[in-house]
Amino acid sequence: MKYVYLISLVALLVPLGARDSAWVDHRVSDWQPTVRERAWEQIGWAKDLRSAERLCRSANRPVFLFTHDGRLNVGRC
Amino acid sequence: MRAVSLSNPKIIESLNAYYVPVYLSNEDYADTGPATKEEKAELDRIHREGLAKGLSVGSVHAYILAPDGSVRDSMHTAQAAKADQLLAMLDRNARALHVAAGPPVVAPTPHPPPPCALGETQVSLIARYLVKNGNDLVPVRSDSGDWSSLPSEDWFSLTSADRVKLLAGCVAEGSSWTVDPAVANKLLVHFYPPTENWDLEKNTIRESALTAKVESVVGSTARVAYTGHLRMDHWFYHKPDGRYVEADVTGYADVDVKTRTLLRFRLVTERADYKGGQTLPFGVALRSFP
Repeated sequence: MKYVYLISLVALLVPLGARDSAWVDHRVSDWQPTVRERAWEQIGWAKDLRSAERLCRSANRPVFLFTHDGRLNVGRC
Repeated sequence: MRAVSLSNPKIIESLNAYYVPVYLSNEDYADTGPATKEEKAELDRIHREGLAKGLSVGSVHAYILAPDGSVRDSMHTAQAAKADQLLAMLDRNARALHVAAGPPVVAPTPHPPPPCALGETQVSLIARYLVKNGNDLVPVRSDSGDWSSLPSEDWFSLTSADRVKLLAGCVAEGSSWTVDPAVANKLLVHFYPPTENWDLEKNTIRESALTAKVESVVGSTARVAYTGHLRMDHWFYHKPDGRYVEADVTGYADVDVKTRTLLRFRLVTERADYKGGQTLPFGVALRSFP
């Protein structure tokens, strides 16, 4: 059975033109956002403006409101 | 701001300990945006009150509201992106309001991907600037706060009709085909670097091609290799500037040939440049989530 799996694995690793699938996978992995690039997700964001205001009244805290163009969560901004 | 001040550990700590943080996209709060009329009215109220108090007011700003909702302080993004300036604003307002430190009011959580309709294949795409390192190109790691500081991430989905066209000629080892241009362009229109312009309607594809070939079939799984090319106008800001993308792409798909199911799809730039001014190398990596 192991032999079959090995043969299957080798067959699937045939070159993709000039590049193989491992090269593609490496690029996909290497270019993902890092923990540092996702650091802002460590902030506890309210879901919208009026929810934030409701929470700030009950917690007796100020609201920090950031308004921007584009989509902050995906970096298209 | 996300890349600099909102990634600063002291600012993250201050926001979580003393504030209720919230962000919003102006597109959602425009007349045609999906935010509720009550949300839009509240943002309008904040703008008006800020102006009446002589504070800096605008679309790309950081505001501090007191617990009673009154507008206390504000700062343009250009200043708020500088960690020391934003931290000073947070500190002075927390002190002035005598806010007691505590745990985050809202638990921090990773941002989930957008919902994907049943039967569709979700696709994630990362685009980022690259820099030469020896003979290789590697991701730019920068604290500059400009567009090279962060990757962009797009999420979209492939319908069953898209998948059929993507796999159209997948019948036997050695078979090859040209992917339907509509599906190829649906993928490739996202292949642009982080810029202030994220409007896909403003991208004009001048040349594109995506070809496929079945490299192997093992059991019921076919490995399909994809190669392609793109030349696409992409303005840096939201107005014409002559800038464009040139890219060669390569990738693969694993397909269950019995059920015609797309098991895995990956497509990356082998070489990509943002041209029409300073030539900037960038990379795009696309992957499917079954």
